[in-house]
Amino acid sequence: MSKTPASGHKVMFTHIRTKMLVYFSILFISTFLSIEIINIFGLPFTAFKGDYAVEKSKSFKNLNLIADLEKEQILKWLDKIKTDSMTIAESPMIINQIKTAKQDIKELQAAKPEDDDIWNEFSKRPSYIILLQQLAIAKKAYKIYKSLQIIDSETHQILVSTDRNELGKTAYNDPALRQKMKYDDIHITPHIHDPGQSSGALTLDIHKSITDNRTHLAYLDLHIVSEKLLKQILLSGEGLGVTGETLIVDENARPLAPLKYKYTENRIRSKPALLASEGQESFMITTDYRGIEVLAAYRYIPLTSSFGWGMVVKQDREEIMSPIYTKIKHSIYLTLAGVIALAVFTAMIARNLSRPIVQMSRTARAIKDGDLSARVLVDTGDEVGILAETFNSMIQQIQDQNADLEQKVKDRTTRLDLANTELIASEERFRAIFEQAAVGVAQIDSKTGTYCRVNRKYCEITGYSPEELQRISLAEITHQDNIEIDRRQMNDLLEGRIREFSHEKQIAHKNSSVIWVNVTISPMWKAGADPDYHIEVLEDITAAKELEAQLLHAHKMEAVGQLAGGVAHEFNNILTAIINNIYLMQKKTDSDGPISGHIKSVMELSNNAARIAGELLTFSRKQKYAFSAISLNEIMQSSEKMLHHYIGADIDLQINFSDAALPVIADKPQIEQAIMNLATNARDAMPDGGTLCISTAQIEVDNAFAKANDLEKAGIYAVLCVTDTGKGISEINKKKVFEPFYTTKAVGEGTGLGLPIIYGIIKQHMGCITLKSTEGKGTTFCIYLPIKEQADKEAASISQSAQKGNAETILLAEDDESVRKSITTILESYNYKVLAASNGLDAIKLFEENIEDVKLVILDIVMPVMKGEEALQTIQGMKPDIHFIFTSGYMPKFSDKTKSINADIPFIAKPIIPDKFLMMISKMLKKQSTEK
Amino acid sequence: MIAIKRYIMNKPSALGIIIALITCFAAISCTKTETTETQHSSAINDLSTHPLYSTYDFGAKDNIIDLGSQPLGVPIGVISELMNRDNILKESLSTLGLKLRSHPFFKGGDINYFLKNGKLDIALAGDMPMIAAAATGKVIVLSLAKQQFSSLIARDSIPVNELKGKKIGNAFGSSAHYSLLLALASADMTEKDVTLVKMKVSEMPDALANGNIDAFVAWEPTPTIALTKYKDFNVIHRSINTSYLYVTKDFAERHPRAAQLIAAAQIRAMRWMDESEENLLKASELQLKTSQKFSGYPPVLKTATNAALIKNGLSAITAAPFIPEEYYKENGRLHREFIFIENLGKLPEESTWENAHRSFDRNILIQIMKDPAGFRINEYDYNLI
Repeated sequence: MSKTPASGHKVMFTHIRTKMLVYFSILFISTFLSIEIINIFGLPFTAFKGDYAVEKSKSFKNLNLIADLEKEQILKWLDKIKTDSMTIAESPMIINQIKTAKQDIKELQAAKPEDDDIWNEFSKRPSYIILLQQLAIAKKAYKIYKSLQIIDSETHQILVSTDRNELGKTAYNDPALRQKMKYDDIHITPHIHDPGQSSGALTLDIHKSITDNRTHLAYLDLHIVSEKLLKQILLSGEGLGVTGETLIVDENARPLAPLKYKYTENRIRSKPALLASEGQESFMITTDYRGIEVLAAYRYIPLTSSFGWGMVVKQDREEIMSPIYTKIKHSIYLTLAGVIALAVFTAMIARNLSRPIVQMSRTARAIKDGDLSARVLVDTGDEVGILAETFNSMIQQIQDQNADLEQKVKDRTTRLDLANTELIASEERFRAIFEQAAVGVAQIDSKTGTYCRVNRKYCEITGYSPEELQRISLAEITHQDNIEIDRRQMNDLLEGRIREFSHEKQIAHKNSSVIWVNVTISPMWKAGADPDYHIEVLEDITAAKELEAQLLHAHKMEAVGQLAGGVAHEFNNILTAIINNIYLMQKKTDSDGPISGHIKSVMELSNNAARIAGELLTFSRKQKYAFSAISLNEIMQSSEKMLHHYIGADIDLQINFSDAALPVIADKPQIEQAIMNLATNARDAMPDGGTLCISTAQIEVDNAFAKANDLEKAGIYAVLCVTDTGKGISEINKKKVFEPFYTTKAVGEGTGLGLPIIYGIIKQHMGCITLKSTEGKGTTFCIYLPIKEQADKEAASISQSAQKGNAETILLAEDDESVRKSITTILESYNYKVLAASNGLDAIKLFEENIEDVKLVILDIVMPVMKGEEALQTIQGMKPDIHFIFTSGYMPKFSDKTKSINADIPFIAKPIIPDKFLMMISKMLKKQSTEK
Repeated sequence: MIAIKRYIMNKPSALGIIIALITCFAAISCTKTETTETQHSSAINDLSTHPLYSTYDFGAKDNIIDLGSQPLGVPIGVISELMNRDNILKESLSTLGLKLRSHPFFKGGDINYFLKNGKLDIALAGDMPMIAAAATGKVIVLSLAKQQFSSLIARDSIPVNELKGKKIGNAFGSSAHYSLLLALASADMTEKDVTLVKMKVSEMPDALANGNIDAFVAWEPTPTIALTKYKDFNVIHRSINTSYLYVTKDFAERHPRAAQLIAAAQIRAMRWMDESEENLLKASELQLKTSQKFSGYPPVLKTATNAALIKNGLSAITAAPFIPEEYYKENGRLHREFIFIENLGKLPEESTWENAHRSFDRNILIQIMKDPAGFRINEYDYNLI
């Protein structure tokens, strides 16, 4: 019945047939009902009164008519009574006989004044007899009087009565009545009906004056109990239906005749009765003495000037209006029947009329559903037929156009599909680029700074999910130190002053850590257009930054090492000369002599100085090491006893050895020194005791670690970790602990070279040392050494032993004059012939001049004009089998080209220890001679 | 019409002018009505300038008894007509050196005006003017001259309650007005439930026929005239109203015998008409002629119909026209009518019910009824020409 159209509102009666049925039904029903209602109840504000009003008016007219008729009948009846009384009272014979009767009474009373029984005597008198006869005749003739009496007007005694028992009695005991009768010719006295009396009738007394020549003689009383006519009027109810009634009341609304319905009160309290008794006449709808609604017409029946009767003619409203009610009921039934019939006929008509429209509607729906071949099958010649024909031709046009359109759409769709496929592929490519980019890419709303789209890498860098990023802006994760520059550069971009910008900044990772990123911002809008979105490319440079820091630290350390090495080198040269001269002095001085002690002291001090210089060289990695293949566990085991003794009893020493062999190429004493230094630092960090744990392990190091820690390469490493539970190292100090002379200890408690020395030692071993520390909890130093297989290429140090020479010629190239002289002296003292040059070029010249004689060439690596390395190459070119010894204040870094060659040349570090030096020379000369 | 409407709607000024004109006409109508009422009031207040009354020759001499009568009234019009033609009265008065002169008036209020200022000695009028006069304490009410119905007439036979909101023609302050109140009260209504239209009783039937009013209330013979003229009219309510013979106290004191003779003449006239139908018809005929002469309009009613009205008005009082004591006892008919007039503000300041109550004197009638022969109430000698 209802459907929901596009607007969403439900609509009732959408079918045309239903509409027609409903509307026509409403029309007919309303019209029919209106007619019926108007017919029954009339048309307001017009003169047309409906049946109801007409019926009511007719009923009232009927009641009024009856009331008027009955009133007239009663008045006529009263007139008749009056006439009857007049006829009797004005009869001359009656008058004469009354006069005689009164005379007879007087005579009798005069004769027997004390006799009460004079009336018995009187009754025998002719006057009485005649009067009685006349009254009897009248009674018989008129038939309505129960009794007739003649009453003396002076004594009010009953002179004659048809009721013998009344003779002589006094009438008119009511003084008011006597007064009225004095002046009224005729007076009527009704008797009030006793409500308890179920039967009975209207009772009246008529009092007529009997006069003779204007002299009042007597009264004629006529007593009426019931009378046929009145009874007929009052009780017949003729013309009043079943419920109708006529009732008569006196001036006090007391009923004068029996009522039709039971009523126990003395007075009728219904309005018509009261009004009628007051002298009003009208008609109304009211309730009667039963309390039932009636139509009543009431009349006043004047008896005398002072009083009259009220008469009410009534009929139950229900009975009166029943024809109308019946009519209304019939109208309702008729209306219902009419509605049903109407509905049926209307449905048939609606069906007939709406068929073509319905068909058209169905066709339209079919067309709407896509069936353009649908047509309206209506061939009526009327407007609907024309509409159908026009509709069909319109649909045909649409169908043709549709086919054409479909073809065009098909063609375009094919083209669009292709383009779409390409677009999709392009979009997928770009999406892949976007998503798979190795850098973070984000599309940001230039106005709000919020993220519109981010790729996977961006989320990875920032730690936020795409959904989380859409709820924040870039500024929210930017470090506060970078916000201002970001804002400034963004403004420049938005205002077109720059086309893009890039800088490094810090952002907050979701896990609250701070990361370094390189941000490149470039606009997505065209030049001159309003800024809408821009692209942010984000690259995590945190590792690079750390590496940079580490490299910087390494460079710093390298620079420091270079400086220390340079100082040590110079220092070593001086010390070499001092030690050599002291050596010669010692040789030439009596050991028990007075200055030998001083010379010994100077030598010890010189040796100390040399040791310090050696430590610096160690730090600077210039020191020469004696490498050998050894197990790290073995080194640790040899240090264990010393460690227990060294660190004290209040520290719990725990040593954990790796199961792996951990073979390394190492200078055992140096490693031991490193371990001892670390243990010393750990002990110093736990003044109140604690735990010192030293463990070894084998570990694989990746490229990132190798790069971060300046290792030559990734691979397998032996690691030794020293962990204490001491006070830890602060972040600031962590960066400086490996700097020479940096110490947190008091003056005199440490030189600040311990960790730098360890650093240099480990570096010399091609390893690295790492530091992890938490203030208040402890520190862990880990030494990484390449496993022996990797260190195979590392050169092991070879020791040399010293002997006296056989006047071999040794070419010495030393740029420092004092060192050159001292070495020359020592060599010559050991029966060597020395050719001394001050630089590499001079050395080449000397060698060339003495190529046959020279047996050994000693070259200082670092020399002016020509370095020892270059001189060696030239000399070696002249004489390939010649042997060389390098000397220097620090271990040089040879170039890759010469590294492999020079790595085999024996080396002696300055300050040169003569014994070691001489042993090495002796060894080299012996080797050479062997080779020959 | 459509063009006019369109013009008016498009021209607000035109509409305003029309409204103003309508307002003016309405105002003028009200003014005219008021003027009419004012004139009427003026007429009541100063009847000495009345175009008819001012021509009357009221007996300036003491030997003239001026009787105010209402020729148009039934039956008091016929009583006064017979009294004028009563040779026995004439003869009786002449022995006293007095002469009766009758002056016709339209209504009892007019009679009271001249009674009050001493121009009249005797009045035959309805209960309302009688009460108004009696309440001053300056008159003596001798006898009942009529007991008849005032009728409420409508076009349709409808109950009184259906007059709610309708227009009712009414002679303001009259016994018919009182009857209307009784009728409305019977339907639990008051004057506020209807619209009273002041008008002369003679105008009422035509006004009802024309639809100017929906009903009217009047005393006889107007209702009978209306029902005769318009057959579709209906009586929807009736109530008793009465008429009386009353004389000024001054007259009664100066001429007590004349007062008695006048009252006896009333009784005689009533008995003469009651004696035979012929007498009644004759009296009716004479009265109709006099009324025609007075009103200037031919009588609407036929002699017989008029006679029936006369009989109807006298039927209850033919024997002896005593005023029933019930009428003027506390809360009796006349007392209620007194209250009604008092509430209307139609009584002079000095009016009291006590005055009115004291005005009713049965003694004169009792004296007459005691001596019917002496007053010759059963002898008849009328100049019927």
